[in-house]
Amino acid sequence: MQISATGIGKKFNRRSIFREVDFSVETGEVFGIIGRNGSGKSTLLRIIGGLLSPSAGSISYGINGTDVSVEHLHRVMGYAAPYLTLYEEFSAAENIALYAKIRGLQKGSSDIAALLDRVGLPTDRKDPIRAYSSGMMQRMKLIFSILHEPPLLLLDEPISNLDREGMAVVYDIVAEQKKTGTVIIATNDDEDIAQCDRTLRVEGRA
Amino acid sequence: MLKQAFAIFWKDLASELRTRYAINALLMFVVVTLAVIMFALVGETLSPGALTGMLWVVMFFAAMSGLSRSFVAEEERGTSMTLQLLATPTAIYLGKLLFNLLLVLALNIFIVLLFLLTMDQFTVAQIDLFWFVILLGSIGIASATTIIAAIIAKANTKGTLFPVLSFPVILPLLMAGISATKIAVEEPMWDTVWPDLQLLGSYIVVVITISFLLFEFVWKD
Amino acid sequence: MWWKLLLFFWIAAFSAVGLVTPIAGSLTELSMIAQWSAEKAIPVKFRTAGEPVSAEDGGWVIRGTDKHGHDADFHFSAIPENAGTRDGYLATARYDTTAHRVEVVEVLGEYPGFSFPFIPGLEERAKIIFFHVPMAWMTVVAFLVSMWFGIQYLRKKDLEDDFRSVASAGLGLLFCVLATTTGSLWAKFNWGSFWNWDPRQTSIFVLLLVYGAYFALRSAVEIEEKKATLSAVYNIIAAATVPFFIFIMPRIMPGLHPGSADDNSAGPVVSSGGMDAIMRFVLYSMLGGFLVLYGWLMRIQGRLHRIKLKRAELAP
Ligand SMILES: Nc1ncnc2c1ncn2[C@@H]1O[C@H](COP(=O)(O)OP(=O)(O)OP(=O)(O)O)[C@@H](O)[C@H]1O
Ligand SMILES: [Mg+2]
Repeated sequence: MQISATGIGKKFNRRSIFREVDFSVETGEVFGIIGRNGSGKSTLLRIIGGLLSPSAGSISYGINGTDVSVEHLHRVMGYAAPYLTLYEEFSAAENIALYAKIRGLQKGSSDIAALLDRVGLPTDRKDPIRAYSSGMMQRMKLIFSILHEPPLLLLDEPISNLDREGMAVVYDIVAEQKKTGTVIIATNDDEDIAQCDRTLRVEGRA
Repeated sequence: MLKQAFAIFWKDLASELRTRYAINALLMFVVVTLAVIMFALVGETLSPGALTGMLWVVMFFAAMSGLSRSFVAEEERGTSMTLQLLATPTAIYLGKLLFNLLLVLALNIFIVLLFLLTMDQFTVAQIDLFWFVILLGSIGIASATTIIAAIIAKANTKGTLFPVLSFPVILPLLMAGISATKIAVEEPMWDTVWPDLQLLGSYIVVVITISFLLFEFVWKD
Repeated sequence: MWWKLLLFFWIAAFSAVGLVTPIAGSLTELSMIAQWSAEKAIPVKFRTAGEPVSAEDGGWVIRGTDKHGHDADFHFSAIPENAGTRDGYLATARYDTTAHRVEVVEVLGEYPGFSFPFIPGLEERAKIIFFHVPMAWMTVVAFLVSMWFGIQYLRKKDLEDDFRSVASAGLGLLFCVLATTTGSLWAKFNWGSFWNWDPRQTSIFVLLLVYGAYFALRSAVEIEEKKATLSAVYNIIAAATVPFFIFIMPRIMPGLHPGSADDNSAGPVVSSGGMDAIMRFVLYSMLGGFLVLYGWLMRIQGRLHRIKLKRAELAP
């Protein structure tokens, strides 16, 4: 997945967070977005993910030379972030089945168990994920982002709330994704930054 | 896209059946409202025409208290971004519209049945036309309020804003619905009821079309 | 600057013309009124077509021609001043159906150079249209302009367009309130009560609700960009549904306004084809004046807005 952004700017209430951000990312790259707290990393990531419209500039997306429009971006993109909330009244398996159904994918119970296994969550819990710990919830979010094997993976603070083993899971996912796709990570963590091939510093004012 | 929409519809339905946030309270709301009307009308004889107006008032307020839930819940729980990452705005709108449609139909059928059972003075001259008008009216209410619900879900004072924004938009529908229901209840004649049915139909088409065009702007931050 | 003065004088002059121009009917209206009420006197104008002659009962009779060229005998209780030399009169009069003659009640003056036609049921109150109708039109114009800039905002995401949209909605609300007030004051004197739920009254009431809802929505959203988007969307939805009133209203309630479906009197006031040429001229001049006034108010708001932005050091 290739992404190229030119002149991206974002304003909230007429107040500019950042302006004139240019970058491009190629397939096989792990791209880091770094910057102080409140500098606009998450905002930029949301713009890249098509969740927020930029106040200025444009981004183009392509897979092997064919353009992808923002409306269809969600099909080829996975996204995990602390500010994402899953459907907490459903169990883990129900959540996964739900995402698969909305995305039009066939996921049997063995696929679901494999996904839960991959991120190190128990496969036999039937209670709503409302009761999950924050680290467990973060692992659920990882499943949410990789379920449809997207060519583009956007991760905002991916290791927040995770233990050592959880971090290994994240970096494993990143390494796997790097083989065929693209990863963009918004982070301040040194270990995350070490995973990145290149970084972009956002200099927004808080 | 239709598949996506149905998946979202099922999600809302499953979530509602699991939590029963809305449906119990809504049914009680209807019962209470009807009880208030009956107490207020003890000993009065009202024409079926006047009772038709009451019926629509109850249907309007039931819609106002129930139909914003599907969007507001998404926004309050913070799951709207999750949904945004799963499906196109069109599919989401369609899914929510279907859910609201089901909810409003169930509610209105419940209301009408209670009305027919409890109000002896409420006699309907042509029952099939009557139900047809209720059906059209319900579709109209669902289509107009779904986009308004999406708007108010993004605002601060969600609960009070919903009827405020809905009323001027829904008023033509209410008037046409009341007029058509009155005709069905009092003296059904095809040539008098036809313009109202046309109006209801075209209102639904216009509102749904415009909602599809505008929903993306509302939905995306 | 000059055009503001011009605007001021324009509106003042046409208001004066609209209010001062006398209302004068013809023999047609006189006989029409006579069928409803024998006692009622109305203003008429006529040219003298003969010498004053004394009548048997001690009064005087002058042959007169109305503006349509119809003749009648006009009966005066006493001979009016300069009766022989005057070439016309403006006077209140009534038609005596038994004596088949016109009784002049009071001479008001010379034959006026121009006058507004006498409309049974409206009379002097017809003059409200020079104010009420432009206000009602401006309400609609402001609403449409507001929607137009709303659409522009959705297309280009420029907050300036949103500002224009709000400014126009604000003026629309102002004109809406003015039109409603003038309308219901007039309705009190003509239809007997301030509010009658006539189709057009109901429509303007709904417009008032739409404007109210629009501003309520705006105050309930914090992020300016979101506020702009949501209110633009609401604006468009309202503009798409409000026109349904035009179709539903006449079915639900009888119309009192001229031009309503079941209206068969007073038609000439608004159906401009039938309206008196002078009245139409004054009305359109007032409309033009109000349109320019609206543009001016928009400009003032724009300037205020830029000053505010500069104060907050947020100017683009
Ligand atoms: N919805 C919003 N409304 C108003 N301001 C916002 C909104 N979202 C973000 N901001 C502002 O944008 C700036 C950047 O926020 P953002 O969340 O992108 O920062 P960040 O770089 O991700 O910070 P952190 O390292 O703490 O995650 C902040 O000043 C924040 O206040
Ligand atoms: Mg952040």
